Amino acid sequence: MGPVSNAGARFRQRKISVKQTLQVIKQSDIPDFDLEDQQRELQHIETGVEKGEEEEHHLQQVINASAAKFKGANVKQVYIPTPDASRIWKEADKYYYQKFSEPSEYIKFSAVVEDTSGCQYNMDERDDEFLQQFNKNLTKENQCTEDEFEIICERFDKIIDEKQPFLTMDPQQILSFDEIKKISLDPNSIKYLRPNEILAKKLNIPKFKTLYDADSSSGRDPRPIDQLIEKFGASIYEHWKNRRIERNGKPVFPTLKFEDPSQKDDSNPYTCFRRREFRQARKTRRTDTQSIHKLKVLYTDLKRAENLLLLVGERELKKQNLFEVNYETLKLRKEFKQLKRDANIKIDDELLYDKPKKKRPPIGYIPPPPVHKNEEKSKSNNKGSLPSNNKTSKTKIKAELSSSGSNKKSTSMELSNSNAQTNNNNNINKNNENNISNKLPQAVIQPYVKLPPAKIPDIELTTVNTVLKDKLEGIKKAVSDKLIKRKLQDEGWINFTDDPYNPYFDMSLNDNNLIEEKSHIPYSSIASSMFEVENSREINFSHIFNNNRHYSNNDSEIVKINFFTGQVVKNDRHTYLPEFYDAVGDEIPNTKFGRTKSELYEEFNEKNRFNVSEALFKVRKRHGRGGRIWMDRKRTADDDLFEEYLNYSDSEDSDNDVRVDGISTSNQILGKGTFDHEEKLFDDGENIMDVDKDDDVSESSPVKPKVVENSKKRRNAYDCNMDAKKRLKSRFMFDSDLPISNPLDPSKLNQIGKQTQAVRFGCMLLSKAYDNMHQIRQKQILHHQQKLQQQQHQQREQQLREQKERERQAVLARQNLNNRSNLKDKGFENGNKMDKLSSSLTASASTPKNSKTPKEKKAKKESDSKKPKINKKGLPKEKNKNSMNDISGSPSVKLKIENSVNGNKPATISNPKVDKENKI
Amino acid sequence: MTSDTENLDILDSTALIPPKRTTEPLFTASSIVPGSKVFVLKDDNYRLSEILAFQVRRGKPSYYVHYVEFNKRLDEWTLEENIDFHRPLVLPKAQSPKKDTKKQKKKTPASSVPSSRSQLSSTPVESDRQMSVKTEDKMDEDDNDNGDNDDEMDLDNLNVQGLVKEGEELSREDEIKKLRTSGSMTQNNVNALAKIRNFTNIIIGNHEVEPWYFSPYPIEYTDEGSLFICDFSLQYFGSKKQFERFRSKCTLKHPPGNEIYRDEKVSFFEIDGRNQRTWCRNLCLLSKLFLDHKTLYYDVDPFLFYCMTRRDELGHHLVGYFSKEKESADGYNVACILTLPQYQRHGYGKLLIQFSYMLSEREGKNGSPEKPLSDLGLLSYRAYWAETIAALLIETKPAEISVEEISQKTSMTTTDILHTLQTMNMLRYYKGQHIICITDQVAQAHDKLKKKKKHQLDPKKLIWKPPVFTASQLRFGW
Repeated sequence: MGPVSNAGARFRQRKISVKQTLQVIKQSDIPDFDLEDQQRELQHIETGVEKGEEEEHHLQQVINASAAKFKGANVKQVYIPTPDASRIWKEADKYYYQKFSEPSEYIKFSAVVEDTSGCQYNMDERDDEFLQQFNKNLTKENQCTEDEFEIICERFDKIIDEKQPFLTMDPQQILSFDEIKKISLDPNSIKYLRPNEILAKKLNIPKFKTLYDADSSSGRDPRPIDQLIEKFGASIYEHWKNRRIERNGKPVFPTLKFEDPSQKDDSNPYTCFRRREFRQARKTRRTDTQSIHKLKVLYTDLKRAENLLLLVGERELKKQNLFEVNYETLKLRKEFKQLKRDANIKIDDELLYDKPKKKRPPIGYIPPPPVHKNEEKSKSNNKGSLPSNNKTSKTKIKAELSSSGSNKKSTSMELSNSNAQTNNNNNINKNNENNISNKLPQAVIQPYVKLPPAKIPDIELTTVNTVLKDKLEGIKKAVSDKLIKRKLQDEGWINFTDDPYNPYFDMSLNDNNLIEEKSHIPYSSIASSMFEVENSREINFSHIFNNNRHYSNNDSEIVKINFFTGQVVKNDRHTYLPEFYDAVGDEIPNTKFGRTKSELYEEFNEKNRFNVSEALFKVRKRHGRGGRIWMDRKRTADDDLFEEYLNYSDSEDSDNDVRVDGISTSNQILGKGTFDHEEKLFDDGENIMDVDKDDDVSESSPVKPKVVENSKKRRNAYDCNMDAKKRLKSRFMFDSDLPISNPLDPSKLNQIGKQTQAVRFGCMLLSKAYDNMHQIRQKQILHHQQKLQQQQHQQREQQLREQKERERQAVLARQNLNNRSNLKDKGFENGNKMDKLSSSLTASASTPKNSKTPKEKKAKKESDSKKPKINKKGLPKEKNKNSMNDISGSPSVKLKIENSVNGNKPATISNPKVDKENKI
Repeated sequence: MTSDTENLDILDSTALIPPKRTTEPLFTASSIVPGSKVFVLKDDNYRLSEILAFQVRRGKPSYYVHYVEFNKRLDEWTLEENIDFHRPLVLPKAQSPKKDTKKQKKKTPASSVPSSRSQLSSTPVESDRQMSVKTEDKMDEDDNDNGDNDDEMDLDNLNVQGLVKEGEELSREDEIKKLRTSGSMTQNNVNALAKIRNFTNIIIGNHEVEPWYFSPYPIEYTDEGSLFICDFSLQYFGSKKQFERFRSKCTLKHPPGNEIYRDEKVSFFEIDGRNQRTWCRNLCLLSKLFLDHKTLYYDVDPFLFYCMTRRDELGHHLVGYFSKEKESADGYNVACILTLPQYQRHGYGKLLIQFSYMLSEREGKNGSPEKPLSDLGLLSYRAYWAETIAALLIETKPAEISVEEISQKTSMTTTDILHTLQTMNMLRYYKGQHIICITDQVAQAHDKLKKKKKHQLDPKKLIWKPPVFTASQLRFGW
């Protein structure tokens, strides 16, 4: 390489980017590599060692040796010589003897050296000499130990540091022993104590040792300082004072030299650990006040922390006491047992064991007042279910229900319930007393423990939250008290506004005003109270239509239906189900009240008329495990918005599904199943009660056994813990907070709970659905009747014609008579077929009453008798039924159209054509 | 130190090689004043030495001498009889008042440095080196300002960060000003008193150790024969009785902080200078005995101390430590680092360095030790850097790698890496490109080291999160 190119290469070589990737090559892989050339290029490399030192002989030796080594030279290892550090101090064992045990976890430690080294005064040889002289003439008892000597000297030092920080100015001014003694013995001064001593003093316990205190070297614990100063103070003071004056007032033992602001020149190498001065931030009044505020806050915080620690200490003392007492008890019991054995006394061993401890309620816990059944009922009716700890059993609630509802029920029921009612009445008085006694502490007790006023800083501890909460509590309590009171006054009267099945607004759908914007539908209590709906199943309507008994009454307007059971109540419903809403709206004069319910709601409708859609849900009731009643609901039409809303909680849906699947028939089978969490919530909930009541009725009425069987698949869609809680919460939130309520919002009317309202609303929707269904049915039946009449008419005409012909031809052709009678038979056959077809299509047992053909009756009977059999077969068949329900339960608007087509047809189409259709 | 070199100017260029003895004594003891240089017998050789102090010890006149070109730790008291009166005495140059002026600063490097270097002719590379030193000196003056590109580095001018260049010595005031905000190192302008070792013997644990340098323990203790230092609390006592009393009361058995690392051999404790003022001051006083450039001018608040200990049945014995600024403006990950002399040459230094890089890795930062390094510090760091880079390159076998990638993997700064590559002779120029060449020597050294199976720290055993400090916590005024 020429010198020029070499220089060029070197020039390029100078710069290197740290981001540039460099090939990594082994030397052996590049044999042509010119090592010598590279070596020549090696430059001096900066070391980071101070320049002057870099040239030091030994360092250069080592650097050069290693450099040579990297170049392949074989050099001896060289070291930089250092002063000797290899000698072992033989006496070490005398001074290091405390053994250390390694914890398994990494050590966490924050104590400082001063905490772990006991008394800060360490006596030296001179002190030792003095002490030995001093102790010479004293008995062992009276001698001053080294520990004690140090404690006294430490106290002296501390007092001087406190009182005479500038003693070095004039050492002779040092406090006299009497002054020091006075300060030292001042019982209020804790300045000179170690932290553990202060704690001991504040807790009024003897001085104790901490983990950081070593065992006393003299083998006996030092006596209290007050005693020591009385006893040895004077003579030790003289010794100590002399040494201190000798040191020009400085502490006896040398300390590090810190900066002395009075001295200008701070070049003294012994001065160390100066503070770092920082430029002061500009001082303003604002920063001053801020700092003062900060300091105040800090002070109160620290005070509080101190207080807390003291309380902890007190607690630990109490615990210690407890243990001691327990130990004593144990010992006494042991003796007692021995005595008992010796004397052969046979008494109960009760005294030998601790009674099982009662679970102590947490601090601030307020025991709930024992809620009486009646009160509970009223609460749940008027305010919705409160979270109650009471676990009243199912039967109790039933009893309650029957008793409270007895007034409305038939006399036969009244008899059975009168006992319960009187019981309740008797209990009410007692209960009120209880309530009063329970309420008093409730108002007084506050959830936090009050500290002694001397120890809390003047800072308000209440927050806006607690104030609001208190207020809310008060309001709630007042309301519930009022309600209870009212309930008592209303005893024996029917609370009309509370009637859960009587909605006060029109459910009928005005055909002219079809709901176009379905997204508004959720604006109803059902939508706003977040009900969970079980998706997979829907209400079983088949039994309604299978049971022809409903139609035994010619007047279809009068038929009433229990919407949960599908049971038809008919005219006599008011005798035992007075609260059931008359879905079709017939006026049943009720003599007990001035006006009929229908009158009332008509009046209401006049004022508040608005349109409601058709049934959005199919609702189904069934028995669940443990005698629970389930309410199932399914949407009838697709609507995305609604779907989203309904599928709100998937997890709970599936939960419900599981429960539904295995259910086959009735209460007894599944009575054992336990769902405790639900029980709590719904034992006092009105849904179950209302539904229960309903169910009870259906069970108790012997006339309709089938209905009971059919209701087995019903479940309560409102049985949902989370929703119940949510509803409860939101209820309280909104009920109390919303000043303006929508006058049209049904849930705001009459202070009826959303739950109640929802149940009613659901019923209404259902009733509407049924209503439509019923009308369709009626129309279909009418249509059939018309058809039949037409057929009969036709037949009759035919017969008449035939007769005429026969009469006309009787004489002429007697041989043809057989053929003509065959024709007549055919006509009858056609009629039968048509009937069968219609009945299977609608999947109902409904047949017109006025169809009196014997064959029809027979067919009807067959279908009736078949029905229970199918049911008993269980699930697979049920699916069929459901699919049929799907048909029957599909949006009634569609059906209507079909209906109207069907209904219009017979008028226009000629008879032979109808026959044909039916045959097909 | 500058005075040394200045004085050397007067001497002949051959001054370090003792001149021939004259038959007649050239001077008397009375003419020796502090600062003058004489030849003193040291290990059978006469070496040029500077007399720093005179004292009558045990009835005999003694001189405290600093051997020129030896580290200060070898300074010692020597008897009059060791002084060679037959070789010339060099009297100290009168302290020129213009020393601090700017002119002086510029003049010094040009004149004194090459001359002093030229006297070192013991190694074959000398001439090459000197050449490059000269160029370096020139470059220092040329591209001092524009030499700091972001990722471009001039291989000839790899300035060691934080190191004060010759001719740019700070005045004492500047130095202290710099210290106020950060750092624990100062080197120049020390009081004459501080040049003399003030303790002859310390007893720590069961070791008797000779101190190396001055340390500002209370001046009263310097009269005592030995200084007793408690192995755990590092409290110091001149009196044995006091030490005994203290030991009977002391219950500390490990550094007073949280253990953040533990393996079968060593543990590490993290100690905050603000929380453990006494202990950390004691530690600094102790370490000052062995660290020349350490300063105790300011207090320990802004530092965290990472202490390595060895366990036995008595407790955790301090083996070494490094301090670290809570917030380093210069990106240092170590301020001072020391293995106590009684534990030196056992590989503990490397563990300390490894641990400091482990912490940097956990912090996600690169780091470098605060400069200046001591001679021993430099050697330890160089060894660690070389081993780490060699291990990385040989064990992961990358086809190519950038310096930055190495930096990411090792938490070392790029400057340190380039320095190391150069010292290892691994950074080569081949076919118009820079390459990293794994030389046979490096590979051999790596194999050898692997066979030795030295103790290595396990990063998994480090239970540590980088401590976070608020602004007010970092303000160190009281």
